[in-house]
Amino acid sequence: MLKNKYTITAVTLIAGIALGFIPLFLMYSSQADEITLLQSNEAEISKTNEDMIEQIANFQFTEEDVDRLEAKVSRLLLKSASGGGVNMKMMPHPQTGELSVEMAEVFSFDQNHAFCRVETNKEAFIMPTYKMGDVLIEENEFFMAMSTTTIEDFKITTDTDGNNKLVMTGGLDCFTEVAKASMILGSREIAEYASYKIEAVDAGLGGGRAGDTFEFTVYFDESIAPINYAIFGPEFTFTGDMIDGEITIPQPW
Amino acid sequence: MVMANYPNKALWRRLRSTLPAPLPLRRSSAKLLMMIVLILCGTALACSNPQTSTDSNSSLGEIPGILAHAINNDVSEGIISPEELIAIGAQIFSASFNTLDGSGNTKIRLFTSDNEKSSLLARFNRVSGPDANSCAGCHNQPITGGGGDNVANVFVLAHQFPNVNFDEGAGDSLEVLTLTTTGNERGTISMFGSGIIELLAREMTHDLHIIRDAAIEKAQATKQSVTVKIHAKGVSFGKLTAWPDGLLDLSKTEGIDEDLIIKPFSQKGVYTSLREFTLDSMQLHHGLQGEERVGVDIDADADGVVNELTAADITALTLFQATLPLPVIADLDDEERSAYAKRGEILFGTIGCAVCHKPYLELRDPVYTEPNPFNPPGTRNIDSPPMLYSVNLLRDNTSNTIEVTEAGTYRVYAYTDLKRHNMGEILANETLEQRFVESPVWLTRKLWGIMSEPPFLHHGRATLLDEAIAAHGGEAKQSRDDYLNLSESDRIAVIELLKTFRMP
Repeated sequence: MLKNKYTITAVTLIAGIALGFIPLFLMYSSQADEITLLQSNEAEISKTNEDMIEQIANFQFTEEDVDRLEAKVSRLLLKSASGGGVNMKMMPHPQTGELSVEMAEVFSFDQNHAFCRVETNKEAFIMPTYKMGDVLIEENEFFMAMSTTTIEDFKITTDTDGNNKLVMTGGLDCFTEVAKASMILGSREIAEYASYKIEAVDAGLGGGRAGDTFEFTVYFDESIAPINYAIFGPEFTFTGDMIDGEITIPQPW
Repeated sequence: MVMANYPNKALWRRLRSTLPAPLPLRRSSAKLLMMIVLILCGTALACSNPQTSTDSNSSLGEIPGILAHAINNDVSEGIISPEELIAIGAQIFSASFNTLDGSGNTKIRLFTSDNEKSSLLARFNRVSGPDANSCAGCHNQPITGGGGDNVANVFVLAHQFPNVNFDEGAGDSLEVLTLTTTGNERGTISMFGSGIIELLAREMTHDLHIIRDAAIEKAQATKQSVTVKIHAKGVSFGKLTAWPDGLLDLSKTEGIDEDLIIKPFSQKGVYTSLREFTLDSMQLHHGLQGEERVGVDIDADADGVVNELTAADITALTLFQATLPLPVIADLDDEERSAYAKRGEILFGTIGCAVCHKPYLELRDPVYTEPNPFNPPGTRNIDSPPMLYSVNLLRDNTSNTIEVTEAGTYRVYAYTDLKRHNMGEILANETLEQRFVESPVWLTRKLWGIMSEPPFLHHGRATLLDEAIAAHGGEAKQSRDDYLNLSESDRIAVIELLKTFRMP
């Protein structure tokens, strides 16, 4: 009886331990599965990571390629941008002071050059100069020509009105000759260097009537362009109503 | 021919009484300035010879508004101290200019048929200028050097017309004009902290030029086009491409001119330096010409006065503005407002305001020297004779808009990125393009000090901050919409943050 009691107790104890162990065993087994799964995931993630790193490297290479292609297209666009025409500017009349004397500025530009030229003045006018006050210019006594020597940078964009716009900057030679009664200021042969910024806007076919504009802003440094500085000052924009010509600027990339 | 007035012993005596109220500069600087002025006055009294009547007579009758000019040699030889220059600059900034200074509209010389009456009337013109007798006439809110009320608005670019009166006559260049086709109406903005802003711009320009030059070098070395991202102090300005032949393609640049020079002054961001801005302002608003523009002893505007402003005068004015105090971020005693402002600071970032109104830019060197090396022709630049002075703008700084980092740099909490942005249709009201900057495009407004200089926006049409924010569009449209979609309490929080941005 006593033996049976011990046996029952031992069996019960073993059964209890066994029963208690089952959930632990089951739990451990499932965790082991999870660990295996995680280990497998880790390997997979590592592989994916490596693939991504490789893809990123390839992507960077592609971005460089895109940049290079875009640059080529942009440079091609510059090649197809050009224009030429006449800007009319009104100058003060010597007697009335009214802006009634016509001065025609002829201009032209493309990827290799730009110029702006006033051949002469058909009537006398008052030139309000920067340093010399108002100078009376008799008829056929004014000449000015600006011709680019370098194009350092360009920018083709669409402006906020939706028009295509080209900006170019660089250096130019400026020939200005102003004749007065007793003297000649400047020269048609000897140039003064200056830097410039050109802004040309293509508003569609039709030139000035369609809204095309051409502005030639020149920056004169007194130490290297004293005559033009004395006449025009440190910054002067040559422009006017575009009465003839056409400006063509392609859609930017 | 009248020579502009040069330092005159007797006139120094008047200097003290005409100086503006002590500027809220660094305390020690303010004291130092006052001491210098007193010493100068004392010296003037001691040196004046009572037996000669010239000195005492020189102040009899009408006298110029500028009581004493700075002398070029004194600056180039380092005889005059920065503090003395600042005192002269302060005096010129507050002076009421008159005919004896050479002020007034000289373009009326073009109207040969006009009579005496109309010539007199045309000497000043509120629209086409000259439109003020004194710098401080507009820059006075809340104190000298600050912004201006709407009454002080100016009409930028209207100076191209000799004397606008809308009669389609010679003064209007025979054009049919309206107020909007004549000039761009702009508010007067504060000059406080402008020296530090110029230094930030110089450093950013320097950094951008290094990137550009390196791209050109690489393109020439590799014989291939090189495209690089251009950025400075964490602000992106797009991309540029350099070609082996040296040509630059700037079609992908953003918010900056082709010269890659940061221009931190004027609301369009078209002025490189305080000096350039000062020279133009003196000419356009007052009819006073700097000799560094027109030459020594040359009466370019034919008003009978030469040397209206010496190069040293412009330096003095520049230094005065550069050393004006920095705005502050107010410490709030009120706990509720303080809590709102703190929440507003977080919202300011989350709704995207901080993308353009970048809370801080990091300055490497706070020492201000002249001239700015990037100045354009017509303004002293790197090729000009050097000015022998340098001023550490943060030497005695007490403003909490500056934070010194462990690296020894300075975080400047000006809330700007010094970049131009398209602000959309509502703010595209101008019809004239200033220096190639299109109508909807504006330089990010510095927000420091803004609550001390209402009204808001470039033309002062917003009397409330909420109205100013609501007028944002273009690149800021999403942030504006996010702001408008905030709860009322959150919108108040953003406003409470902005209300802490004040002058000292």
